[in-house]
Amino acid sequence: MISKEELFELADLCKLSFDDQQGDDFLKEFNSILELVERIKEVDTEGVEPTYQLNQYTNPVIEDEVAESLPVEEVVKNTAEEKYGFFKILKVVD
Amino acid sequence: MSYKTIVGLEIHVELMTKTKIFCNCANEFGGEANSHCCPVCLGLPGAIPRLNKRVLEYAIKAGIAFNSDISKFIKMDRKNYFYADLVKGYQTSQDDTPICSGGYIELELDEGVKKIGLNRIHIEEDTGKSVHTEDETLLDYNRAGVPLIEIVTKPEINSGEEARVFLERLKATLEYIEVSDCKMEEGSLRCDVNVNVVDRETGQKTNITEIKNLNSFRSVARAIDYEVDRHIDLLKKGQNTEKETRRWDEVNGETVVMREKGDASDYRYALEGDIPPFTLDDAFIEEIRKSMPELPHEKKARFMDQYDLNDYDAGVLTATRDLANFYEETVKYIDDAKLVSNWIMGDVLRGLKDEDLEIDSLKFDAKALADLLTLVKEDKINNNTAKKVLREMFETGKDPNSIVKERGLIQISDEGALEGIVEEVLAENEQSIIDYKNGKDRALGFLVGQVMKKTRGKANPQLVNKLILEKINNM
Amino acid sequence: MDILELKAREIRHKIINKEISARDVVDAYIEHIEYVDNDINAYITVDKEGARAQADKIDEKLANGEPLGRLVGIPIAIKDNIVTKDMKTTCGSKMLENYMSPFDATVVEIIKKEDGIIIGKTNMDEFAMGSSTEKSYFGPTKNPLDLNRVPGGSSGGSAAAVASKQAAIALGSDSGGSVRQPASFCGLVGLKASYGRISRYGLIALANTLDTIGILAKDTEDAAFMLSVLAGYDEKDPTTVDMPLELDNLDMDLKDVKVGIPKELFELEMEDIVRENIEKIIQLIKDKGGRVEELSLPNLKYAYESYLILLSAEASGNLARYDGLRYGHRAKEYKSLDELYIKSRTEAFGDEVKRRIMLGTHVLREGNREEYYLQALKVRSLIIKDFEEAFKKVDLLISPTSPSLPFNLASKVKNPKEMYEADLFTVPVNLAGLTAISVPLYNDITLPIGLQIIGDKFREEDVLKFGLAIERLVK
Repeated sequence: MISKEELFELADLCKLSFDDQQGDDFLKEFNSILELVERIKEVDTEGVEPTYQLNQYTNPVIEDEVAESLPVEEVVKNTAEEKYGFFKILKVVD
Repeated sequence: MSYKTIVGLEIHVELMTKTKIFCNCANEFGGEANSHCCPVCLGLPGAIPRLNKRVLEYAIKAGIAFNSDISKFIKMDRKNYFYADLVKGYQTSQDDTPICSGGYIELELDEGVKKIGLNRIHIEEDTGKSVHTEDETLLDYNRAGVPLIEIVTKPEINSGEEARVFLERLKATLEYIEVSDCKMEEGSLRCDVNVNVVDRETGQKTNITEIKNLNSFRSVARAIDYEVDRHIDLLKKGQNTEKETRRWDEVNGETVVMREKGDASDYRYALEGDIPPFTLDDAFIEEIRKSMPELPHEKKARFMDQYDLNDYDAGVLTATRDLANFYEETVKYIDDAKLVSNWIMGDVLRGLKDEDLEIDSLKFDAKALADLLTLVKEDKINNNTAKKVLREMFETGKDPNSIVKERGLIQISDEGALEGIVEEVLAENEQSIIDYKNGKDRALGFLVGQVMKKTRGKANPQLVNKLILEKINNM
Repeated sequence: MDILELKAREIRHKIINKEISARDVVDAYIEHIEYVDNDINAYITVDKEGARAQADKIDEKLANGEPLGRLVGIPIAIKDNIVTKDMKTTCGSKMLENYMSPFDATVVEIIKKEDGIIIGKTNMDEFAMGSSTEKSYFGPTKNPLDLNRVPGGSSGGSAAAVASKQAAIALGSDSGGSVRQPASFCGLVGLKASYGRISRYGLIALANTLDTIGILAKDTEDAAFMLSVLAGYDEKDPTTVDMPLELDNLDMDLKDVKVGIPKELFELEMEDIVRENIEKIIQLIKDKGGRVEELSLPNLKYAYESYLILLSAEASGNLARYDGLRYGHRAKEYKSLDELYIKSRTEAFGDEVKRRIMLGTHVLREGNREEYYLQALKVRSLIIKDFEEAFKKVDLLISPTSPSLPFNLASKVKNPKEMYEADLFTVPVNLAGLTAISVPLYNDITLPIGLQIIGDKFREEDVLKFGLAIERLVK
């Protein structure tokens, strides 16, 4: 199973955080789930192809034709901050 | 001590499709922020991507042009990482099933022809763009979803200059097959470099440096040269480079370590479940193969053969598809390949360079040029006159016959008309005759010049020459 | 007549025959919602004005003799992970508490086009992760049959709405049993159509290769009726296929069917009362001449592990877009991009969501990917094969829908592992993309037990016919 340190590493990868106590609680439950999925290793899948889709699809493509885009107001209507039609955040990006 | 430079390039090329890779939003440069967006390219909850057929076509065209194997099995994967310009928290790309594998590009270097191997070409979507002000970052997702091909070379490039030549050849080919306009300044072609050096004697290798933020082919060459020096310096001191990413600083001409982006390397690739993998049928790929235009090297070889041009001339004339087409059009109208090639490579290209124009912005067409050259060939005007007429064609787009007629530029080729003037000049310049008879050949040129002056440049110089000599010899 | 007792298909009939008006119907439902939903909490959003306006429009169309759609006047509840332009779509989460989608899901468009009336958006486990609708940011939904018990999940709100007569029919989503299990807990018919049968465009993704939109109805014929309207290829969802669907005549004789009992499912733990009642119905089927045989689908033993790995892996990608930048909850203060993301997500996601995102990320990491993710994809292939073999021998498979009766609120919330076990019977169907229905067995018990009937891909008519036969059998 995984250690608390690995848990915090994993959390960082998916942009989540826990404080120390939360980490402890979460770790216990998480490890019990991991125990569950371990069992998948028991299956002999030698020579078995993975399933990437459930149905046969022949050429699920679309034509290169321009269609109307969303009006800018619709695009930004759900954001916390916008400016001149841009999404706005504090300057924290390099 | 000698060192070998090892360079691999990772090139992202924006495809010239009308729409984005997974939706029908316009694929256009510029435009008001977020005005070319829809639920799909914004990654809104509930939206589902749909693959644009033309993206496959263009990627396959590129693969064919670069001699790659084309995969019939199309699968897309998610490359997971977080960044402000990435709307879904993953980029839809291809992991283990690139649409093209292998391939090569041939470079014509001074030392001869060199093949640079390609690892793969795969399709993926572009990200949005951020604009920074004093204290804000503004995000525009117009570019999110623009289709890209990523071309990865094998580490077979061995100098900055080679890299530059490689990129020129790549660009020319992609323009030829009309898959991208490859404008590095507009961002439709981006290049990252991986470079290290090997000490030929000891076999010691430095750690690979990745270089980003390169804005032109020249920067690529400069950055490589700089890095190579930096690597060699460290080796000489008994040190090694860090395996890191550095940013090229164009102003100071150096590379600088970039801040870490964190979870850079493990992208946790997973299937893109909304795009069902499928197999292309052979007919689709065959269609594309058949529709491939002649590639630059093919055209050049044909020009050398068909028009009896030498390697250099054929190379210049096939540098771009537009120029090559212009040449061939002209030759169709006036069957003198050498004459046309001289004039295009000379005055036409010079004229374009002076005005900083591309061939497709010429005000006159191939037929007009052919008409001009016909006048020259038929001795109706001399070369100098022709150059003047050409300049006017550049400016006004007027056809040469009209220009010549209006300005009365037809060359005087009538012996009778010239005789009188020749006799006049000879009478006025007895000393020159004596000089010439005493072996000063230049005197002849002077006499011809005088006739040209009197006829305001309209006399047929060869005829004048002939007449003067005749008369002198009869004296 | 009690409007609330009418089946969905009957409402249409009565409106067209002018026995009732659309407004009568909507008023009756809204009045009832006001009366009961404070106790049940089936709805997150109820659109009273919108529904009334829609009803008025329909009545006007009727008065003008205009043609009316197939769903005319039917009050429909929509699970809050299906996007609607006119009402917010929250996914039961703080992350999307105020999210207004700029587009309608395809199923919503169809409902509007067919004159259906969308009464409101129903409660659900956050981002469809859960089996009891206790994990909603908007509080738990109670089971209308016993307010101390859960209605099942994650489509618990939709099930409770229909079961408590707050909607005539409802849509939910089913990625591992989330329509069938709530149907079982609330005494309804829950239909999960085959993957690719109903468009997912506008269904906020949990797991792209497992998600389907499902129907919660009062009886089998209502479910069939709704399916016939919603099914079909949608160009906005390239995972849909056009397959024939014959639902006009659902009558069948139990003698004509061969039913299989998957040994591995029956070996799982289940409450005694569930086992007893399932065995009773199997006996009844035999008594009516149906042929029942036991089959082995050996890889079903690992269906849950495969499901959990694949669902989490896909979900971790699908939920990466929720970072507070373009929509959704955004943290008030942050000093870096990372902090913006981490705080927004940590503040707005519940524990179960975090757990699955972490699990998904974990199984995709380099080093784990082969052993878990790829392995799960391969086990999926084996399970699909098991079903293929089974359907060569039998027409349908049956099992309990859930191993237990609806359990008490807060009884399993602390133990995720136990909670997962609620889905053991249902997940294999999603792994193979098959169709399945849960039909309630009531006879002499106070709480319902669902019988799950599984059909081969695109054989919805088989499961609906059998479901109707069972319905008639147990009446």
